[in-house]
Amino acid sequence: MKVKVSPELDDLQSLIDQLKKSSREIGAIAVFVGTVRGTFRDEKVLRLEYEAHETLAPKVLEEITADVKKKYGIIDAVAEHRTGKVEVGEDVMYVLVASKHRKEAFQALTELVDRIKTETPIWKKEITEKGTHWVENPK
Amino acid sequence: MESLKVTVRFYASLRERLGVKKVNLQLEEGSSFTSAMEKLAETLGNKADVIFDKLKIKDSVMVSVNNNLVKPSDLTELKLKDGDVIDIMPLPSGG
Repeated sequence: MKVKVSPELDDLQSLIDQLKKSSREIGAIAVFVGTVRGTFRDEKVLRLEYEAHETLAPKVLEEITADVKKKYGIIDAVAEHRTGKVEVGEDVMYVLVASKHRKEAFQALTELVDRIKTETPIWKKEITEKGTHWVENPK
Repeated sequence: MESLKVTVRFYASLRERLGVKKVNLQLEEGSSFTSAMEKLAETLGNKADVIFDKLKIKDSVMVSVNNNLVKPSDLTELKLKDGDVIDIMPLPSGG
């Protein structure tokens, strides 16, 4: 299991290759790539800026990943999220789940991505043509 | 009377709206989280409504103490110690 909160993501193909090598039981690897969308409602997005709680973000990410791994009985997982400035079209988040079969890989991946977005203390600021605003969680 | 000092730090949109990164509070020995928040609201003055709704922490805010997230229901009776660090954060919006 690997988690990372950092200005840079690891190379995606290398992460896939490492997972493949980690167990002979792996028959499926589901991958989520979060990228920066170029529009917000009708506004053109120039870039995003991410701030993370330096200590809590990796800690929560690790707890969530371990929790999902146990819940779905998957073999391994990787969760990485960027911080700092991220340009439109760039990757911001990688989540990979390795399991024996595809069904539990898809289920675990969906839950893990949802929980990373709603539970990990990372915050997103959108810089658009019309101004700057923090994206608020709808709760 | 003995006193204790705690630090309250603010993150992301809350920090920008408050215009301050952290606040140090001097409290009486044995003070609870609730009394610390009363003192914080007093210190923040008219900006307190960024965090509080009638002295209650808003649902849109999450709290950690010494890098451990604390559920809202567990905060009320929480006793503070000298040197504790309270982090007040907006709900996550990553991804």
